[in-house]
Amino acid sequence: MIMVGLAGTVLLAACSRHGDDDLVAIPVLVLAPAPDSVVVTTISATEFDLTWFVSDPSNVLFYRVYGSDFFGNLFFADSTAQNSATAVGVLVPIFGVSSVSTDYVESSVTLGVATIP
Amino acid sequence: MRNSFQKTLGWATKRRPARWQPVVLVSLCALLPAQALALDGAFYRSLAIPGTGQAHQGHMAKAAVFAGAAVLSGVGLTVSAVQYNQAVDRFRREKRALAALLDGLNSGQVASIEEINTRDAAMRAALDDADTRLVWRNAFLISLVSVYTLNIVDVIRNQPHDPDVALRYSIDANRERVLVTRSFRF
Repeated sequence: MIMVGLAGTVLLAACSRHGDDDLVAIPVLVLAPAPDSVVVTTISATEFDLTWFVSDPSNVLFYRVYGSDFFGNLFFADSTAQNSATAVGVLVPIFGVSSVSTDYVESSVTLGVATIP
Repeated sequence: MRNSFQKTLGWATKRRPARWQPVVLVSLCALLPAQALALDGAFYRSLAIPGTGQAHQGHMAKAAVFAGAAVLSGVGLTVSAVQYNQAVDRFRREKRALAALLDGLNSGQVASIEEINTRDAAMRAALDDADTRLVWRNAFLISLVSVYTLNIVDVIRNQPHDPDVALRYSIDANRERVLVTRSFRF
């Protein structure tokens, strides 16, 4: 009986365990607010001009501009350090803008629809 | 009238016992009673496969219970061990992915906050899943060991009693010598 008990204990100890694995701790990250009021200001035959508003731009390193296809899939189009993007060379009806913080953390994407003035 | 004699199988020495001698002594203490009990083969049968010793003794219902419990515990242990290993693999995969994201931030690569939060939640969910599956795996393992132990205890308790059969080995040990004595009766 002792041997059976010892065998069971050895079996338990020999099996793989995950208790030694620690979680990856996320450090305190500087976040930037998501852009608001994404507006297409100018539409030409080949380009769009966009502008947007950010509540606190102090932590923003740069912005990322996305286009959206007809199926709603976003694709990267441009990046800019300004609160506006001119001459975005993609001709799609929906744009998205996100802000990237000084820790390179990207905010959620705010969508704007291009309407013919 | 029965005659008996004893034959000494052990060794005697004036030297200090080696380190392995206590191990041999404990092993003999565990094995010799087992040999004395294994007169009709039921003990060894149950030692090999739970339930077969009971079947050999004619207790078919108990044999079915022990064999069924052992099979259920064994299948449960196998399935839960596989699922646990899969959960651990998933946890480590999510952990590596999150670590890679955070390393990328340090080297100037952009990562969205949604992706970081998603990876973090997936890692924690995988850890919780692994915790749950570990409990199940250990429960099935304990169940299997318990069934196996009870199976052997049961077959020993139901061993047919033969008054002519006595323990055939004895051990006499002190600091200087260990004597293993084998008794013969005829």
